[in-house]
Amino acid sequence: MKQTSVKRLARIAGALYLIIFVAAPFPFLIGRGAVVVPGDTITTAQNLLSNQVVVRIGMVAETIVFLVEVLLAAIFYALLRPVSRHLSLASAFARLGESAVQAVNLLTTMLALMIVGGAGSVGALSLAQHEALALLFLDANGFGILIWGFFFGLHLLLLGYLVFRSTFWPKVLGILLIVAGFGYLAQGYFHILAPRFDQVLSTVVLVLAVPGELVFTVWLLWKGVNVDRWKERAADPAIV
Amino acid sequence: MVVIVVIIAVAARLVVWAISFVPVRGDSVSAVKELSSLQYGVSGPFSVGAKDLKTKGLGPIEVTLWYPAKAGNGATRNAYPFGIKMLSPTHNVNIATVAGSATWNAEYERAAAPYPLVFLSPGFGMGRKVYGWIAEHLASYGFIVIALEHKELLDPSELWKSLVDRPRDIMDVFSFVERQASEDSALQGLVDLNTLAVIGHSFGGYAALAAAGSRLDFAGFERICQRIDEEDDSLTFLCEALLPNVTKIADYAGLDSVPAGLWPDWGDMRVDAIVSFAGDAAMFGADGLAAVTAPVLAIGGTEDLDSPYQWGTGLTHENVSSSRKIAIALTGASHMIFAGSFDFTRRMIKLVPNGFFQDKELDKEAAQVAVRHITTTFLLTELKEDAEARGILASDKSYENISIESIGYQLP
Repeated sequence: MKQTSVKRLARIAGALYLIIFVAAPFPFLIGRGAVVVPGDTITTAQNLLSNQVVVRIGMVAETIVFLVEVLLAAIFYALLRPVSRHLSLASAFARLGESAVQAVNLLTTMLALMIVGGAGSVGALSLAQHEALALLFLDANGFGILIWGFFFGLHLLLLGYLVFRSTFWPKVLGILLIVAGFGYLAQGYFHILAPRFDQVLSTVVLVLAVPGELVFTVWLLWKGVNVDRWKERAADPAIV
Repeated sequence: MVVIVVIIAVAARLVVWAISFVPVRGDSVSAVKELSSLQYGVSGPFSVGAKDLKTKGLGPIEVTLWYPAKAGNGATRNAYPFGIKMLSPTHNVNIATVAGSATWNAEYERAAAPYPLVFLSPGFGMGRKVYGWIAEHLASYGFIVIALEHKELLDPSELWKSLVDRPRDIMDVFSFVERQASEDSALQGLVDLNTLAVIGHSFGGYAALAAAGSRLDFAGFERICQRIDEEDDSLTFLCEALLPNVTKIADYAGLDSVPAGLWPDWGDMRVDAIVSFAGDAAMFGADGLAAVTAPVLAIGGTEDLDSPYQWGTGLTHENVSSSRKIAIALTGASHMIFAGSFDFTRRMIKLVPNGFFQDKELDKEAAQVAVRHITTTFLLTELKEDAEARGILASDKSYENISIESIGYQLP
């Protein structure tokens, strides 16, 4: 890989990360997250029906996120292969897994929209059943988020380790990413094992995860990568 | 450019975090056990149904109807949105949810019909379903509760309009119910149009008093406003929101000029009783309140900073001419003690100091058990002439953290 292309690749990764940062909150701000009233099937269904356009915009934002994740998985694999081929591949697989679960999770919102719209066989259900099912699917979306969080947590742990070992990125970036990875994993496992700490953990994840990814994004955009050191690592025949 | 995008992205994440719904746990404590023995504090004999309706004609008003229902049909509702009209006069922003258990669109229970009507007017800018906790309870005792969704933005500069709109809304909805009940509709034979009460919270308390014939008196109101300490009296808010707009209020109400003394009666003689939860009353002054002759139950919290007890509940009780009236002071309770208890709330509501989580000394659930008991007892007495309920009102039983002043309910 040429020196300029390595640097450009790192900056593209930063730009893609930035797209995720901007697009990811959309479903919660104006889409699905904005229409759900916990436990209130009727209001939620009414909100969903009357806000279909914004919910669909939120879904578009979700598709952007998981498609960009695929690109990022490939770019980070290419950038980190000089550190460890096996671990960077595992890291990319984990990110692809995250992306796949995100994509499947979109189905919950689609089903909720289908149900309140009374599409097809749904007509056999009563209105109350429509409403209850719609809220169930929207609630299930939250569990989908936890599931992709496991994959993402693993990806961040591996990414952080590789960045820490890389020499072409500051070690502190690696540490921040590892901390972020533990945050996502802790949230998922605590939700399963000790759900009463759920709310505390979501705050902890915000505090732990966002700085790591954000600082890494800014670094990628600002500095890119130390190309000379990257080439040194790439030339090392001992890489496995 | 990149920095701006990063800042926006981080801000968006923080907003998502702040507006996420979180369960409310551990905000309720203590005194429920003691008060759970109150006879009318527990649900009554009827299953409860609920449905949304919209009045017909110009400026339709959305209402929710809670009613005695046949058991076991329809879907049980487990939560109501706690809505506030902070962005639009017609749409609520849901900041929390409150528990509910009515069966939505259930079949009416006609066996014991007709049922007395109870109109419910919410607090200023608040959604009607916030009061599901009391509406469901009253329906379980054989009342039909109709809660109104007033079209008003939660903006103090708009409060003066609601002064005129609210009594009109109540009368419009009553006319709608009358028409429905006289036509071949589901309400025919279900509602007792001759037995009617109005209950309201905060500005809804104003609406209840106005519906019972209380008359605005801005001269009297101004005298009250001159007496208060502007630095620390919460009534200042009401004075500043209404007094500068007196001419506009008269014009909006269709009056030729600002009345010199008492304003016209916007009420209805058919109102048999009213219940005011932390209701605003100062705009009537003492003379305007004296026009009320229907029985009045006024309940307020002693730590209410929005409708201070002295200028709401206290003023009402002292000045209405009703031969039967009760004032209840909930010691330590704030203004929002009368809004439903939260199941879920947006995280920022828990974190940022606000009026929704003020009730510490008097536990909200315990207070609401007491309010359910007292309100039900009062309405059973006044609308159903229930002797047992009247006996409870006549007794001198006292409760911790609750003081009662009662006139006209002594047993013969």
